[in-house]
Amino acid sequence: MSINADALRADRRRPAPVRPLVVSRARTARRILLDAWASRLVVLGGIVIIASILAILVVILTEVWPLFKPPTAERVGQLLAGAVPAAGEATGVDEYREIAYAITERGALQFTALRAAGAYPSIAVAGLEDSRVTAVAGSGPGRHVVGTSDGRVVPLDVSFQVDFKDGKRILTPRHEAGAAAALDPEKKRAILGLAAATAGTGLVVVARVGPRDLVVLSVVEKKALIGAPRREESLRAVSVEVDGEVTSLRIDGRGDDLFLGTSRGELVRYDLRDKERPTRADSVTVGTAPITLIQFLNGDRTVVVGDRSGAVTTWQLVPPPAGGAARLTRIYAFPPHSAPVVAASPSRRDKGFVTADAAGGLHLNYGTSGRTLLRLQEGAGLRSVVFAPKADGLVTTDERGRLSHWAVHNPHPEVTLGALFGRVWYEGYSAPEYVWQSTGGTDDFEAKFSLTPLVYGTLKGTFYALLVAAPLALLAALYVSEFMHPTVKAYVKPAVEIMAALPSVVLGFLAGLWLAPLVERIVPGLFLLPLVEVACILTALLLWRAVPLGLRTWFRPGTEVFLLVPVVAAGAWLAFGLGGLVEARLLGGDYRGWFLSALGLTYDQRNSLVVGVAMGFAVIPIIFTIAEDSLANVPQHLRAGSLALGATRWQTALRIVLPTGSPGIFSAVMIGFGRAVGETMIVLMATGNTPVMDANIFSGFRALSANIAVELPEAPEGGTLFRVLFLAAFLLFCLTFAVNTVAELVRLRLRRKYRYL
Amino acid sequence: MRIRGLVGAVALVLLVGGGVAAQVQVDPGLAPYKPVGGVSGNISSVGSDTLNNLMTFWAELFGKYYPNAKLQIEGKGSSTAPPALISGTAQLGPMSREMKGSEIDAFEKKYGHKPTGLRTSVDALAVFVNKDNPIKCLSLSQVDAIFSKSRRRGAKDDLATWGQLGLTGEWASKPISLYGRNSASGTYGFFKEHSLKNGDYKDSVKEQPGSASVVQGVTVDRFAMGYSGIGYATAGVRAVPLAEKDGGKCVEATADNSYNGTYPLSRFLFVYINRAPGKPLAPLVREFARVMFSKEGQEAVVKDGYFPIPASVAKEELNKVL
Repeated sequence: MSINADALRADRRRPAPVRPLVVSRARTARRILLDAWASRLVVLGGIVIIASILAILVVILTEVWPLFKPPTAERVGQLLAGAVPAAGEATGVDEYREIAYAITERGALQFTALRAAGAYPSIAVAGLEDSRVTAVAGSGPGRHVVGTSDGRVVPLDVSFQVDFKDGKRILTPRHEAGAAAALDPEKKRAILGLAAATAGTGLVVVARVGPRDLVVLSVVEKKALIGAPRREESLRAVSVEVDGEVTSLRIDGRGDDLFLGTSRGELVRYDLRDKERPTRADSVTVGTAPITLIQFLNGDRTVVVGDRSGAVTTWQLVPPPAGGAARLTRIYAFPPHSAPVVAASPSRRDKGFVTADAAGGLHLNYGTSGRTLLRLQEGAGLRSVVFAPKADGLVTTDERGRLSHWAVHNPHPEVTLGALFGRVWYEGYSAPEYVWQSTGGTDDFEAKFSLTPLVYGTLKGTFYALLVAAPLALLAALYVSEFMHPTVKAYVKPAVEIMAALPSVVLGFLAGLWLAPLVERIVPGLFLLPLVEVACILTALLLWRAVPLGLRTWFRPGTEVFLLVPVVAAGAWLAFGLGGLVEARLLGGDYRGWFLSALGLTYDQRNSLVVGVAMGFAVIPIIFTIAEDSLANVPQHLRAGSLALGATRWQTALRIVLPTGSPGIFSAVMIGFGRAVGETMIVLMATGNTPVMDANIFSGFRALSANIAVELPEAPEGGTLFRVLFLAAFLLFCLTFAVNTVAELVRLRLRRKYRYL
Repeated sequence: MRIRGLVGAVALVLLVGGGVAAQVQVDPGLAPYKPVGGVSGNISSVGSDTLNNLMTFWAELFGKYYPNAKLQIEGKGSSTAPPALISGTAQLGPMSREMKGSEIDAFEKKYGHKPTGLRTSVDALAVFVNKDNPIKCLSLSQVDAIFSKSRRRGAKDDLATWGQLGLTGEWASKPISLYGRNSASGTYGFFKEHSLKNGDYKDSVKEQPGSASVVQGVTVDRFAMGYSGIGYATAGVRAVPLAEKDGGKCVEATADNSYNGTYPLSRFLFVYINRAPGKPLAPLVREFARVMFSKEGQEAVVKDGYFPIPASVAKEELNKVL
């Protein structure tokens, strides 16, 4: 049997009871049914919400998890081409991994179909007919320089023409041999080692013709955007000062630096910027074994050195922190091979590279993270290895001319937990750092995916927003619930709540375009403002006490607060006036200069202070409303008891109401925190989105949420950046989830503590 | 009355703008556009912000010939073009840099052929300072030391104040306030590649979502420096002449200097399209390309402040679409 409470209440108002108090059986049954349906609907709603949140989580995680899948490789085919490549970088493969080629010792170019049947005839390269090929150097994708036993070099470009016939792709190999140049016209010594680069100005070739004798050939081509180029050639013999013999050499793609490896395990750098006068710039000891191989990673900034003992190390020119000329510094030592390193090839898509040893071991390494991603085993006697142009395969050749073709699936080599959250030593940096610079305009750009500055930025923005919002909102809530006159409160509370209706994009817009330049003008005053306001208000209160009682009673209790409005306004005016004065007298007339010289802080116009104010504005209504509700809900008998025992209103508010309402206040702050963490538009528009990591209130930051908004349109679906952005979304999810869970747990504990009231 | 005044002011600005741009002449070898029948439908363009205004000019021109064709233009940055072309949300992908290998790979994986890049116009990427700034010339290694923390052009010291660039008086002690583009931008990538030699930008470069906001920033901030396409130049900023080497000849960002390659930051502006080999292009895209390479289309290039391509290049590019 149930009693209708509404009916009871209605009965109290209307004296004549028309309906009986006891409800009919049919009505009760209907109500029970409705009640059951309603509770099922509520449960269903709850389940749907939880399920959709889990579904979002699943979607995010399915996008994220391929980032951490290990790479795979499988051997697609193995065939005997018969052509044994010459020493050096004498092999290559087209971008679809259909045709491989090798330059042989006899000066022939041999193409080999990797997947289709059929053979290509051996092609004699013009200019190489009557001499033996002794060294081959690569100078870019498909570009080779061939050195001969009689001291000449011939540039040889290999390319593949792509045609489509009936929707099918047909590849036709092409080659073009340039004019031969005599590097040693008098003695005609054999070229023992060769390095070449196609610099922006033209071809640069360095050849080794004796144990310590080099020849530098430089071809200068002045290119015009439209029109024909001009050409100049220069030749210079150089005798290098090294211990032992030069065993390997390489030039970077710009033709700026020449690296020599010696039989004593030394790596020597020569400055080639002035081609007429190469100068010895730098040298380091790599190990004790002779250096067998020098290779560059894509972008030609990181040097990979392999030696006879099987050690593989990477080196960079690093500017010392104290300033001055950059020096060769070891970045990583990779797990060593068990046999001498004989060949290496860089990926043309990222900072990966593959190294091969004489016993057939292949290591797939990644330069940024310093990890070996994959180890493969080939037969002994490997001669060369090439990374396919799209970095999706490898082709190795051994000393009997046997080709081995591997397909490599390695879509996200740059991502490791260490690279995402730790310090990484990037190319050109003087030390390992946290950096976010995800996109570059070229393939040799080293993607920098450190999420740490973004998490830091999110927390920094949230911290400054709460620094502004929490004290204001909580003090306001305390005042409004405990001291303000109810009639005034009826207007004030909705007014504050309306603030929450302002779209954050409007706030961000105002903050970026109006508030930021305004704040820049009044920073000293802004910092004086809290002090001056407090002083003004206290003075006003003292004066109020001096006012005769008769005059004071003119104001209803709780409305005298309006008298403070002119005081606060005057305080603000005074603070900004004083701010100007302080800047002129104490800060040398330019507070930005003073910040820089005295505190080492730089001032950015769009900074955390501006965001703190704007985001604080967005968060204040939430914190205020929830906190005020929880304080107002403190049982009235507690207040009454406290006041009856002789406590003042202030003591009651501080010692009774505040602790009892603390669970609500805590969750108010935490919900405000959650709102600030996820806020996107304000931080997007009011900061410079600079991913810096400093706590300086006058510098900007980049938050996770803003970063996702900024970079998602430029992220190709399924790419590394795309997945890393999903990872950022996952982090954001975890952050708010953790904060809300902690808030709820603490709230429940506090509530239990005060339950006996 | 007030509205009429405003219209007058706008017309005046257009006239003045036209007057300045009229120094560059369109190659007389370019043929005027002849409309064809049966072109209608919707096409959309997603990509470069540098090319955004120019795409709008071309779209207006296109709309004049084909009132039944609708063109949507979105310009957030060149890096947004490849994803849009790959997913098929755009048929035209304007880019202020060449597509890089990994983007071409992704495209080829989806369609089996490479995207087709059309060189539509020439830009001199300019380094802008405020109009009141007295600086005469900058070498590329100075630009590198101003914008980059890597200093790959070999400058010894970081350049942070105007005094270090030789300015005196009130300028000497003022820090250089840096404005740049966001990483989606092709201009960001091109400037990074050619001025910074692929070094990293300083963290203090304020990343702006568009070229217009870079120029706006430099206009408002007297001590600022920023970079963008020459088409965004306004009366409030000045493009600094650049020298390839320290102490070298200073070269103004003009059409001739860009054509002959003496201006170090000259580049082509591209529009990428998806053309399956051996199959005719969709009439809308084909005719849009023909409009771009017509006399009228190249006049629009001049109107937007960029430099037109010669008839020989236009012919080469047209062969890719016809």
